This record gives sequence, structure tokens and C-alpha cells, in this order.
Amino acid sequence: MIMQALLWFADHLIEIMGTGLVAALALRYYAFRSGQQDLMYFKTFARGVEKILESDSENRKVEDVESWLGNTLNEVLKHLPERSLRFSGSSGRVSGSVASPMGFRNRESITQYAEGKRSVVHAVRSQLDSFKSPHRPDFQDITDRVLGMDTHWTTLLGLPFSMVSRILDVLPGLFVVGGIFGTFVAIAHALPMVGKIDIAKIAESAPVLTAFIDAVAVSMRCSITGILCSMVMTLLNALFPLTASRDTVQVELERAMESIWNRIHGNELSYADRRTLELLETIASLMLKQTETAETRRRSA
Amino acid sequence: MAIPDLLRSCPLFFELYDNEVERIVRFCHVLSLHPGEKVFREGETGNQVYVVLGGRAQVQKAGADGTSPIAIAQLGPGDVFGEMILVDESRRSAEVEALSELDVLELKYADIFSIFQSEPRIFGLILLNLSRLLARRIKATNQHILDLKKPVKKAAA
Repeated sequence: MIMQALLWFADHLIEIMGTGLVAALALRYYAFRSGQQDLMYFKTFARGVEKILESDSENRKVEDVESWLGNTLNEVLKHLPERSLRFSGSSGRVSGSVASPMGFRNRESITQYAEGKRSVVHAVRSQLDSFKSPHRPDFQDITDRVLGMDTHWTTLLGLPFSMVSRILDVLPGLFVVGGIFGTFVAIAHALPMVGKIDIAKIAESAPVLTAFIDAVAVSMRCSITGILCSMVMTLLNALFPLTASRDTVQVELERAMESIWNRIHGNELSYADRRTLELLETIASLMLKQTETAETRRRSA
Repeated sequence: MAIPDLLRSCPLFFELYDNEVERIVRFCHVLSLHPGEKVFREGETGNQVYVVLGGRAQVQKAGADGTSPIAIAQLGPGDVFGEMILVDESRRSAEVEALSELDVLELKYADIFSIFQSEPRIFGLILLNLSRLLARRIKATNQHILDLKKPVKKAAA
């Protein structure tokens, strides 16, 4: 029974692997496209922040951080692209201006509001306490938290992104293993046929020999398919790594977070940096004094 | 950002799990207003409760002369207003004006009362939270009255 199932599996392994490859390619394309959209979105956000901060001629410390952050983020929001086609395409249906006794207001669904283009703005706003802190926060940590709140960033087709990424990473290996597995099953099926071949009556054994060669050919095809599928996936992983765009986003966003904090604190050095600088200056002056004393002693001697 | 994260500081949803909050609000809408725009006016009828998601707003009531409004309270993220409709009061007792770019979640009376049968636990918690909210506001109002009476008593003495 098990041997029959294994044989069926080996016979259809090429089709199974082919289907797997098509599915993997589709998933990879979707992940790549989604990564590019995220990259565009977060890059626009980071550049928007930098642009606003550059044009801000004031260098004083921000008193009302909440309002300043709100206004700055609202300004950046105007230039942010939509997060996905789903939202931009259906925006006419879900959101838009609605008539009310108060006039016309912008109205949108909570999902669109939370996960649409404002997503990063909400996440950055939620880090208000870190921006208020006079001690230089860990910007990588802030960036991780901001990105961690983003549904588009953390999930792909409803699955956690880390899981999808791991699946795509192990697929080349799985294809090779699948190919080898099919090869061994087909060889295991073919080998008993050798026993049925009568060397003395080789002409009569022709059908058995043909079946044996067919089974060996299936085993070879399994290996070749597995290796080919693995090569395709490995090449794609190497040429278009999913993590590349994500790393760029991380760096750009971290820089934007740092710029926001610096501007809030009047582009001044943090307390820790100031203290370090003071200590270094003290050490430098002590060393200078010591050198001078040593020099004076040397001269008097 | 996940929907429950937006409403984390809202007193109406205290003690509710994230998935429960999401179940209540997932079909609700968000209104975005510019500074000076009004969410609703005094005397207007309505069947919505609002939660401030972002920005600042001011609750104000028309003065005795009917022209210049008197500011009663300021609202920030997480604050609830218009909650009186949940206790059978459909006419607005004050008006709410946006002080900055304002985003408010609009919760309809029907959205909350529709869960009475299907989700009695959630419904009970929301009403309990509403009671706590109203109690806190009454307490603050009492304190405010007391603060106003003090100078009057001093002046009389």
C-alpha cells in the first residue's frame, strides 16, 4: 500500500514539482511586488520628512511635540502614495466626501484609515514618548516598532511575512530533496525488475527490460526536474532578494526617525553625548596639563 | 497599523480583547475634519458616538447671548464624545469643533446595540465602561462646580 502510494508519488512528482514551482514563482512575484510597494511608500515618507525638516529654518527646541509631530506628519501625508490597488481602486466606493448637516467631510472606512496610506503616520505618532525623551532613543528599536505595527509590512496574503520568506528560502533545498526522493523511489521500484531478466533468453525479457529502463528514466527525470526547479528558485533568490528592499526601508526610516528626534530637540546634542564630550574635554585638558608638567620638570632637570 | 492599536487608549473599549474591538469597529467609518469644522452642532439630532483618533477638538456650548460659544472641554486622542446617545439622549447638548486636523471614529448606536444578542460579554463591558466614563465626568463636573463656588463664598464672606 505504502509502496503503491510512493510509486504514484514518484510517477507524478514532476507534475507536483512543476505546480509547486509555478505557485512558488507566483508567491515570489507577489512578495517582490509588495516589497517594492512598501519600499516606495516608506521611501516617500522618509524623503517627505527630510524635505520638511530641511525647509524648517527654525532650530529651536520644539515645545509642543505632539502638535508639531502631528502637523509635520500631516504635511508628509499629503505626498504619500496609496498602499495598495485595493484601496486606491475602491476609494470611490468606500471613502470620499459625504454630505452631512455640517457640510462636506472626508469619510473612509476604519480599515482604509488604519491600513491605508496613513498607516506609518499612526505608527510614528504612537512613538511620541520616545521622541519627547531628552535621552537619545534607540532609533533602530523605534523603526522596528513602527514597522511592526504595519500590517502590509508584517503580513503577506494573510500569512506572517517571516513565514513566507522562510518558505521561499527553503524551497530550492526542498526541490532537490524532492527530486532525489523521486529518484530513489523509482530506482527502488526498478531494481526488482533486474531479477526478472533472463540473460539466456534476452529477447523474451525485452518487455521487462523496457519497463526497467522506463523506471530508471523516471528516476532521472525526477532528479533533473528537482535540480532545475531548485536552480530557478536559487537564481531568483540571489538576483531579487526579498530582504534587500526591506533593509533599505529599515535604514531610510531609521534615518527619518533620527532626524525627527534631532529637530524636536533643537538639533542639539543629547544629554549623554554632551556629557561624553565634556568628559573627553576634561580628559584632554588633564592630559595636556600632565604633559606640560612633565615638560617643565624635564627642562628644570 | 492594526485597528485595535488605534483604539488602545479609548476608555470605551477597556478590558476588551483586540479581536473583540476589531469585531465592533471593523465596519465603522472615520471622519477627517479640518480646523474650525464641526463634528456636530448643539441641538442637532444624531445616533453616533465618536472617538478621537488623532488631533484635537473642543467641546463648546453657545453662551447666554447665543453668539459666542463657551469652551467646556478639550478632547485628544482616545477621548469619547457624543456618548449620551447610548443612554437615550439623541439631541446633542453641545457642539464639537476641530482645533487641528481631526480624525474621529464614528460608531453608530446600532453598531453597539446590535451585539446585545450575539456578544453579551462585549456589550456588558462597553456599557460598564460607559458608566465609568459618565461617572468620571460627573465627578469632574462636581469638582468644577465646587471650584466655581469657592470664590463666590469667599466674596460673600
